[in-house]
Amino acid sequence: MSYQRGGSQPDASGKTKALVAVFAVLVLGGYFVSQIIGSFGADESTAVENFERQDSADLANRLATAERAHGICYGWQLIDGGLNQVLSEGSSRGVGTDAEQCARWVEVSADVLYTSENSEQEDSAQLTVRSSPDLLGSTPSPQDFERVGVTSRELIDEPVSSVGYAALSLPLLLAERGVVQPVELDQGAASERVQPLDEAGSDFFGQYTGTIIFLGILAAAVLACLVLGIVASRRRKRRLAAVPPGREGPPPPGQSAYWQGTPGHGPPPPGRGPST
Amino acid sequence: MRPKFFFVTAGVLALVGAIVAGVMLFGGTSVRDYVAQNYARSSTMDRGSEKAYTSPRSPSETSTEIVDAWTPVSQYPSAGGIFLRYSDDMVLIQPRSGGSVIRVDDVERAHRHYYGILGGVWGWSSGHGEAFRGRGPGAGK
Repeated sequence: MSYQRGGSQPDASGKTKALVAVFAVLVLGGYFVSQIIGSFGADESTAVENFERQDSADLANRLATAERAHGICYGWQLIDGGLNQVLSEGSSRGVGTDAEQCARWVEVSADVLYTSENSEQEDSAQLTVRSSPDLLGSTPSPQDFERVGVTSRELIDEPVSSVGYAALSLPLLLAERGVVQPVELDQGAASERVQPLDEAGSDFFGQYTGTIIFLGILAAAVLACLVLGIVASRRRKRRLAAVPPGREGPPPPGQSAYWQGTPGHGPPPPGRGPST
Repeated sequence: MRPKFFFVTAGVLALVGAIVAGVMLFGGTSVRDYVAQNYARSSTMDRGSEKAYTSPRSPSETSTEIVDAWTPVSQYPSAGGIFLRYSDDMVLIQPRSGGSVIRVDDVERAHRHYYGILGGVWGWSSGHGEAFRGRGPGAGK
């Protein structure tokens, strides 16, 4: 017996080692393959995305509405920090027109730097606001822009959208500081053909995805416990039903061997217990 | 194991689930509920189907509160106020004497009503409007 057991141990150990080796090869192989595939899909470009012509023209038009209300020119500038080059600039006076040409002006400038994958330096973005001297001290801070969703992270991820929305939020942020009066919203455009909104899914499920998944798992666990409880309950009833009368219940203290049915021992004769 | 163990465990788990679900539902099932629960109602400022509420804080601060509680599909900061788009509702936060007035309406109706602002390249229907949520996809490193 001991020889057989001793003989089978090296085989089991060998199989285990082989399985571990195969598993390790699969894991490492999978990691390297995923890295190779990932490197093909990765965007190695460090160029900053630029405005489309339509983007900048529409932005200038929207800022022009605010200029008419406030008498302040609002402008934007997007700079590729890697090339040290202005990619896009414009103002409420038009695309390519500097806001500084007005007597009162505010301009938001985003400097975005993408670094290569091999670089230890992280991608970075900086938002600065310049203005005419009379508005110095009243211009929005980076925290103000963060409150309307324009963060450093957003500037890195979506430079065009971010600098555009930063420029669009300038009139509102100046109104919050009491520099200008809020612009009345123009609700018109009834004659314009309204482009339908795309489907947006459910707010509730989007908001509570994690909680809903947790509740689902919890519900499954409750169901499983109930099923197991019912099964265990039925088994217990069947077991009790199968026990002959007079053998139910726990054994008296000190008589466990007898009551558990030790081989060679029958049930005690009526009126006689086991000898002590 | 005894049946009682399973039934007690099921009961405890169901109780935990009920508490979690209760807390979740207590916070409201939409941004409309959130605004109604957290801001002062001002029916005199209602406009058409828009329900109005007020906040003592600025529009950008109020917007941050609402966005932190209920993430919008997209947002648009116009010169006259901040538009938050949700799947069923629109929330518009406008400046008003040092604070804000918050307007809540059906998103489709609001989209038609304010299409002059929310349409076009930078509006809700555009690529920018969809992408800009304060948490865009990671294009950088």
